[in-house]
Amino acid sequence: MSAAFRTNSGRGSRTVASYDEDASTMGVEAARIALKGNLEPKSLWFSTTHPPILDKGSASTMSAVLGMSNLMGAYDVGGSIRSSFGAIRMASNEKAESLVILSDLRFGKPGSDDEIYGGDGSAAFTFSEEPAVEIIDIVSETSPVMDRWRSEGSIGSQVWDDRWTSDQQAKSMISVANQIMAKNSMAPSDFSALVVSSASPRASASVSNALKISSQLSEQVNQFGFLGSADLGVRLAWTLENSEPGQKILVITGADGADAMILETNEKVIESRVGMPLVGRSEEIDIATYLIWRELVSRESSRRPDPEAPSAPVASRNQEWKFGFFGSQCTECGSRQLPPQRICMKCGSIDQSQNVLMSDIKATIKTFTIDRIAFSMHPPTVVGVIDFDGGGRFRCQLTEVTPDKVKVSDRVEMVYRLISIAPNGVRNYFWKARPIEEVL
Amino acid sequence: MGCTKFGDHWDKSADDLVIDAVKELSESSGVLASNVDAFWLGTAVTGQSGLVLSKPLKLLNKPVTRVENMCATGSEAVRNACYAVASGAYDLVMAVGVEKLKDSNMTGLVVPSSPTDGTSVDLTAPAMFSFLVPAYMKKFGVSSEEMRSALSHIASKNHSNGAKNIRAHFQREVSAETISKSPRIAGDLNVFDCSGISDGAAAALICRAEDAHKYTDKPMYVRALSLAVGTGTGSFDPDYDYTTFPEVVSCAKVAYEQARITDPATQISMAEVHDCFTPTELVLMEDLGFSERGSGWRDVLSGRFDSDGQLPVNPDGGLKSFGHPIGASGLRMLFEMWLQFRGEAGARQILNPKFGLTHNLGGQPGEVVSFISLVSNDPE
Repeated sequence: MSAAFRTNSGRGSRTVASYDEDASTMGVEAARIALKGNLEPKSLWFSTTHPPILDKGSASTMSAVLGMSNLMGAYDVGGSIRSSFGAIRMASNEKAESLVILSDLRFGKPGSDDEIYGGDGSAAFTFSEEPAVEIIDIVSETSPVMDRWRSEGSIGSQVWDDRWTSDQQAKSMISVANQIMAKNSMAPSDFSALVVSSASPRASASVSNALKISSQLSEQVNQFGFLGSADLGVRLAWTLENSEPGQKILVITGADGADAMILETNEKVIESRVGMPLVGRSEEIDIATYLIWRELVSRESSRRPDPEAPSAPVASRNQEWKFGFFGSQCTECGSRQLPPQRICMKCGSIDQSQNVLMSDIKATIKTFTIDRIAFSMHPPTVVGVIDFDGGGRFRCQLTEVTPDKVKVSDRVEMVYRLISIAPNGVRNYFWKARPIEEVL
Repeated sequence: MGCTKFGDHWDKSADDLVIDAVKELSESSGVLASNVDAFWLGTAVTGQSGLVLSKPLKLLNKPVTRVENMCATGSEAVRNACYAVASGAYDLVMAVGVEKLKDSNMTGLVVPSSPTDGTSVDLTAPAMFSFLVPAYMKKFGVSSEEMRSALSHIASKNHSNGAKNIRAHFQREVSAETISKSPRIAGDLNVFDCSGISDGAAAALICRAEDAHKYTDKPMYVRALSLAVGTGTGSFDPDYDYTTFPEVVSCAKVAYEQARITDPATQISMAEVHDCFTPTELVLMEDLGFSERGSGWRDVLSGRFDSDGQLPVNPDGGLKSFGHPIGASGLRMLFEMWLQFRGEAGARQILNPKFGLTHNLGGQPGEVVSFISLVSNDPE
């Protein structure tokens, strides 16, 4: 079970995805933690209300980025806030291993509720025959009523009426909660924790008050803001991270009606913990930076050519490298080469190499530079030459760094990020290096 | 030889520059283009095929080859032209280099490229070469003040040389202090550590040594030609340390062997080297054998490579102040050697030069093509 999040702080707080993140990059980050090196899921279900691209699914790219084989199905099931619960239902019904990734960005016009009460985040869950948590039951109610919506191309969602919306939602949520407890002959006292997720903070509070089950863990996520499709995921992941074996958890989400789910943990829940704090390394950003990052304001860029879309045929030929960050390792002399080389640069052997997954290997900065003219979504570009543990060198962008604080010998790890968006809308993603957070 | 002024030639097209360079060449040599057997045109980004030369000059069905080898393009044109006459295939050939960079609205050099998978970092040239600075400082224990002084000295020297050159793009002296304080562009490099973007053209008439007397009584002889193209793996080879250009070292060895030079530090009288950025020139002093490894910065500061030093480097202002129209640069370097050997370098004149060296490199640290020529007024 896992979640990934960053915060900023201020009088009120919300999480803000970096300029080089979007729903797919954040989803990848959460999934890498959840998978813990197991690349076998046969299906991937990705839910977001802010897909970076339409028609082409993001899940298919994400599965390649996660290093998974092509022999599996990866599906985008997002678009609405309720999709996340739907993804969990789908995955739990699969016979083979599956992966659910919930990831979202919530923002709106300056000063809007979506901006103030929204947040960006992601979570991921693996499903298998031997789970750490079992779904005991699901009860759902569905409502066609137009309480909250966003039309394609709009920035920020709208609600019909705040109080009416929250009242409707709370009513549905309490209803499914009561139904699921009655159906399973359970009372509130049987549950160690309640996870409540709704775009309306008022509705969530009503439900917590009515059910009188501790939702303290779930509420700790309130500081991040409402995370859209990822909201349920992050609250649930944090709750499970802090659960003991043999506990029952009640999960209620409110959107298009309401869904309720009863979960029960077993001993495996201990080894499924990821050991991350709720709030890790964080940095405060100012409103101008936030507006630029979310493209609500655009800024003059340097006179450099527009970024080009990666050529699809070239990316296709280089799939393992382009998405999964597989380098080549010469089977004759052991030299690692990034990008992969057919002719070994050290011993000259031709076609004597095997793929080596480099994305999880840590590295050390050998040297770096700051380019103040190159095109960047967040100038200046900081580029490092990094040496991987066990061999291999690569030159890449550094992210999550303050340019004048970077030092030679800093330790870094690879993350999948947005490099640029071409004028034709194609997003170019690749791997960047970021400083490893020191474990306190 | 002929060479246009380099600069922001808003009022001149590539065709104009080519015509100007060849016109000057024809006037000084008395040879018309129509009497030349074959042509080599060097241009990196200003057009494709031999038509780039034949169209403006109205060459009728002559053999015209366009060559490109990044920033060594102009030199590549000369190299091929030399082999053409040496082989006996032709008797009289012309090498022309031209680049028109200022019609673009971009900052910095833009090199068109083929479709990619988007996985290479998009770096500007200054950033690529900025890696040389911390690597050199660390390996040889040079403090940042000392390094900054050495780099500024190089830029100031080249501007001072350019100030004496009517063809240079920038003809003003710039103090080392101004250079040190100019705005950062990439890494530790300031605006003045970087050569600019210029338009220009240059041309040379080339024949076999034994025929030179037909065209001039003061020919310049090519004593060595060397080209070394690396594997381009430096950026992902853990053994590359960014303090040298191995391709240049290898290229120099071949060139010195051809001309039987055993001690370049004392036997080379003057050199035009590829100072695209100040640390490039510094590293080249060591790669070319003009300084001991690790001591180049001291030699720079002692004035060894100044116009009045033991081994003047870039006496005409270099890429830095003369300018760098890519396809023309290699020929421009030979043009300075030409003037020097003929005693026509005016205020820049070096006394009794014996051997001149021209050097170009294209690419970036770790991925270089390097060219060297050795020239002399002595055929052997």
